[in-house]
Amino acid sequence: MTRRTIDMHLSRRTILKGMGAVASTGLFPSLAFAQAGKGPLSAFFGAGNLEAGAGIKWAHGLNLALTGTGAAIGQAMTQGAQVAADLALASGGPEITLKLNDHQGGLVPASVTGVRRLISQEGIKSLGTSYGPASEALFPLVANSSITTFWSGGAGPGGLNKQNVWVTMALFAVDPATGGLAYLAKRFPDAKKLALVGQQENGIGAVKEIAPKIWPQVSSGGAVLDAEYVNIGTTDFSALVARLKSARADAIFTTIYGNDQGYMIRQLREAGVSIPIMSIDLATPTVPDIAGDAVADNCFLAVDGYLPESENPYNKLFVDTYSQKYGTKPDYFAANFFEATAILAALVARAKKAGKNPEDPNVLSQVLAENPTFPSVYGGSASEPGLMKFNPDDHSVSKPIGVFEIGAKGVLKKVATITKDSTELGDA
Amino acid sequence: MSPVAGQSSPSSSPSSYGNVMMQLSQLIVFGIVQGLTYALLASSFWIIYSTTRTFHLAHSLTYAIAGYAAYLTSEQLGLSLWLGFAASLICAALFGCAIEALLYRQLRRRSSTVLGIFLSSLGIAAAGAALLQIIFGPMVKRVPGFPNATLSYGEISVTTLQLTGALAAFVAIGAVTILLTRTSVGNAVTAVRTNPKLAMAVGIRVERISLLVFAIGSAMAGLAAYVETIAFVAYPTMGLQPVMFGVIGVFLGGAGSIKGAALGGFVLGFLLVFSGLFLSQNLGVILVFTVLLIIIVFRPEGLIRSPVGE
Amino acid sequence: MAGSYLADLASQVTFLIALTVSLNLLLGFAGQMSLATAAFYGLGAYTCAVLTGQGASLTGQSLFAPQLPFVGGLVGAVLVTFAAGLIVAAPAARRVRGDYLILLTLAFHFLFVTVTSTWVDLTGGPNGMMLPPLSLFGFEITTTDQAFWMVLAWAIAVSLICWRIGASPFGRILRGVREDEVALQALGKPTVWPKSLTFGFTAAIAGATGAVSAAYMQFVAPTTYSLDLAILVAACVALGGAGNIVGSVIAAVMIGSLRPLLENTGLFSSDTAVPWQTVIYGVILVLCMVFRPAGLLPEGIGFASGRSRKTLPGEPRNVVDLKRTEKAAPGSKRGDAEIVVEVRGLSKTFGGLKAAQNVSFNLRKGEIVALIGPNGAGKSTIFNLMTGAICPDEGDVVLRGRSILGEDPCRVANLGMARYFQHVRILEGLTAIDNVALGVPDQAGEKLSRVFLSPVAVARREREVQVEAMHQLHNVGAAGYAGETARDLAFGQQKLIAFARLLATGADVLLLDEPTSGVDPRSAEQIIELVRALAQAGKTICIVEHSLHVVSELADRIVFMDAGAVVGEGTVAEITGRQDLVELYFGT
Repeated sequence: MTRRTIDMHLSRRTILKGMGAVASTGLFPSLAFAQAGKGPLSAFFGAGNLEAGAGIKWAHGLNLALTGTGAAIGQAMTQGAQVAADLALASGGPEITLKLNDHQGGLVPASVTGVRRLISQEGIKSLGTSYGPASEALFPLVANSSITTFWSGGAGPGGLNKQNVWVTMALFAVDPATGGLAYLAKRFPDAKKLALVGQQENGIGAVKEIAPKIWPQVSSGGAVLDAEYVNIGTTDFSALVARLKSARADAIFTTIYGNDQGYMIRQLREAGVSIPIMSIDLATPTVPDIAGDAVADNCFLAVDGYLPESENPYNKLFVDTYSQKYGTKPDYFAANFFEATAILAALVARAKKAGKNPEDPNVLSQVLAENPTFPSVYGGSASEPGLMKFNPDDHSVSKPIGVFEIGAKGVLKKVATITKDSTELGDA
Repeated sequence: MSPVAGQSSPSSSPSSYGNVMMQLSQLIVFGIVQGLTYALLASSFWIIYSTTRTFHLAHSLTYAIAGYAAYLTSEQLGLSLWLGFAASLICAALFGCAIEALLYRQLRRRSSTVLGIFLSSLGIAAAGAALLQIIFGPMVKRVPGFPNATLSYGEISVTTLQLTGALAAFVAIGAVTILLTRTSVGNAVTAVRTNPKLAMAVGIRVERISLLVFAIGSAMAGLAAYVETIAFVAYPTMGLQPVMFGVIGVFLGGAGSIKGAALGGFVLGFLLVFSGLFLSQNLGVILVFTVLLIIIVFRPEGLIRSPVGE
Repeated sequence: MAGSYLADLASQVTFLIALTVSLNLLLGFAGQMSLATAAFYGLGAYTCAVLTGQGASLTGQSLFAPQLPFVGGLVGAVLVTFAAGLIVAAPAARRVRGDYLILLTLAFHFLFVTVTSTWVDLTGGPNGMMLPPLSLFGFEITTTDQAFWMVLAWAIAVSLICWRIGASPFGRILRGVREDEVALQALGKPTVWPKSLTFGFTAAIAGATGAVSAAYMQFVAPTTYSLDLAILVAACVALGGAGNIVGSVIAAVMIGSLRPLLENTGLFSSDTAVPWQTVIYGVILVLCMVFRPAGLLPEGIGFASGRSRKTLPGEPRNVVDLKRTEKAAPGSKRGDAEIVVEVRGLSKTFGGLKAAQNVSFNLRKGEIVALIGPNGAGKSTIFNLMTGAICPDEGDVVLRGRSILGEDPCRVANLGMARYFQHVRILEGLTAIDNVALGVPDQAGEKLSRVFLSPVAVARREREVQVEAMHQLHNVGAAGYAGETARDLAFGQQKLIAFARLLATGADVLLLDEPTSGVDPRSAEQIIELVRALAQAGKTICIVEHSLHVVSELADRIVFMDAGAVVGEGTVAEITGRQDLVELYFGT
């Protein structure tokens, strides 16, 4: 693979049209019978579908940051996955047990050795993983070991077209960049000069290629400044702040993630730089803690942003179960791992129903590709769940993404709906 | 880095970073703030290192403990920010003294090597940070409420908190310098630093002086940690990077005097920021480390030669 | 790569063994503190990755990639890291010492990490890059179990090589460097090149290990090569025992197994294993440094460098045998014996202090000249100027008709003028016999290449060296404690060892700086006897001495110095007859 192959330009409308066709031909009957079925998830995956997996014991590995600055994220991911496993079992589906590995905030050896341990000692058959290099380093291993892998945290274009690897979230920074820039231009029509700030990691394509191409289009002749790069783990942004100030930019587009984002936003605002900031990640609650009030000061987020208060019935089920079990509302990271784990349960059952052994190599990927549309906690309406659709060719996913205005303590308010690689803006 | 802007949009010119004077002044202001922070840390490490010959990397744990002390006092117990400040300094000083009395003194009595002391210190730093995570969890800890405002002069800005921190660092370094040069206690410290055996022979209690410099140095680190905590947050590994840069500053400036150490820390912090005049921030870091290597190679005694060479 | 977890774990531990063992050469033997291990390990890994990679980063950018086979990547890694090691060693070997060395290697580490994170077009940046699977001469290694045997073979080879180096005369030089470089140079042993070579060699082993590990993992990323790793390896060296290769292996296995043990015994769940593991590791480190500062297996224990446990070479019969050196021609009057050393008008100023002013005197064969004068007269400075330890502002030193101005102490010693230090400068961590063996010149095994290329010649010469060293210990009457570590000996005994070491150099001009000070009267008598016997055997001797008793016992001639200048010269009787000098010497 040399180039990203995400030139699909699937607009939201196309997806919905496709979904309508799928639903009407009965391949995805669950949506039509939202209240039918045996267990809580049956309503969304179809009565009797999950039950096909009854009695199957399935070990699912999770490769997460459980220590270090990302430990809170790893915890949320585990809890999201656990809720899906509980609900699948309650719906008569397979019994999924989670086996954890700590990659210590993205260390490659800890990731590879740990996942090997999960495969060999814990007997996992599938894996959920997060972080960039810590996930990418696993690709040869999961290809060789036939471990179906869901990349559901910090996923980048490196995960596309990889055997046994499915990306279950919008590609970090790359997917929402176009829509985010379009929103920025629409909301701030006077903004012409756009400053770009990034880390040279997964999001680099957004800064290096997408923004210079898209911004002049959407801002009717605006210009981007030379990209500014900072190292991961930076806490002092003085040099950057001074450079941005003298550059007199009208807006900032940034792919900085993790705690660094909090330090940057706070230092920019305290230095009197009040121009809008469009970012593509928000680690809660760390970034709001670090940034303080600055986080709610003209900051936006273009991302497959998760809203726990969404009325979508699939989401309500998730939020209610999660809150009951853990006493807090789920966040973005929990939601992504919930979705991926629920899909896993459905795939195992689907394979069994088709008379195949789900443990055989590539079976899960095959049955996924046969019908790549699944319910999503993102988007949707009070009566219908949102939808996510995988692309069987490059293993990416299309799911509802949006632009959000960041409020106090990092609470999000959706301001627009966007689609991967499209400048079209939909309503909130 | 490729000139992305130039390629894609002709309307953007390379000179888009306009007002150079403004940028220069702003970088100087930020550079001084950052420089004084590292000068404080360098001095805090220096007074311990030069007096006791202890490569005290567990200083990073002292720093984190000071941050958590502020959090516990002002946030958990709900006491005032000033009490949190006092707690930071006192806890830092007590921890520094404890580690000196319980560990380093034992190691010196057993005539441990430089490597032995260095590794024990790292052992404490690593175990301590892990314990902080086990006790307080991995989440960052906030101590909000410290009054802060942005001051502007034209387009150049600085926050009152940055000014306060820089001023506090300056005053602390000045106070310690005066203590060292103008008082009898300071003379005793200098005597121990230059010749511990002779100092012992003339009746100076070397072990007491060691405790004293650990208390002073740790409290200085506590001050820096407190400023960071109220400005941002506290977390278990918060001390690693600042202390590491402080250590580098000591050797950059010259380990022979507090002037050298403070200057080295200042230059390091200032350069890290000031390189922003020419370079994107990630390249600035590389530049600073390259300069540092060159200085170590060609001027191993540091920027300021010490009158009391070793 | 597929394959079992246990084999994978074992491979990870084995990588740690290779790194620890090679660092022990540099840190444990040569005493050079390096925190650049992870940087060299990473540099090797990245070199291999760039050379063998497929030319595409994970974010889809194309990278520079010659797509060599693995062996090409390995060779490239070795060359690049060896060169990098030499470059880092260049300042380290000459000027930067001790704590500065920590800083130098630390700065190198940070530079490496920031460059690999930033130079996206070459390294793929923070995302890292992928490599093709490990393959060797057409055999593709596809499982961890196969890989483990290869990695194990590598670690065993590295351990054996390092053990061989450590136990060789080259290793003895390294241990000498660790203890006291100045003393070693004064014995005529060069120290800069062995240090540099060891730096380069350690870096190359780390680099090769990095290349193997990168191909094994099929992935490189900057976070893998963290400072924590460098510290972990240094800690393994210290825990195992500096200077003990077996100890390094044991410590690496123990520390490397810590996390898997904590993970798999069910004591801790995975998410708490890491912080607790760090706590346990830190506590072990501290306890070990406090209660077992020399490590689990201190130097000389086990079979790593255990010369002390070996039987010492047989004792030669004649106890005092100085006749090896040619005897003074009978009846030659000392006054007209051959002039061996001419000191001509030496001057040296430090700041405003005139340490030496136009000092001239001659040393003749078989003659004992005493250099005396009040404290601070500049006697030791003259020795420093004569041996090239410091360079004079003016003047010349001529040894057998040849100017040795500008030569370093090592070269001066090799030309036949050796020095005995006032503060002994015994190599404390070495045994008495190793101290003396370091004095013996022309050792084949002190060249690293010959240790491996002509092991038979090296072994033969080493037997001779041992016999010679034992012989010199007999000469000074210290044969009884040949196997003792110098640190454990009394000061008088150390002085005798230092004497034996001086004799072993075979130098015929001996500069003795207060050989009897601080020694009990019996040892002092022994030393006086020895010096006299040496002069009779034809050595040229210059002695700095405070004790007039010693001077009157020994000296044929006295050079009297004050305030950096020669103020009188003559026989003992002549000097003691001059009232002004006596007053100067004993006065105020």
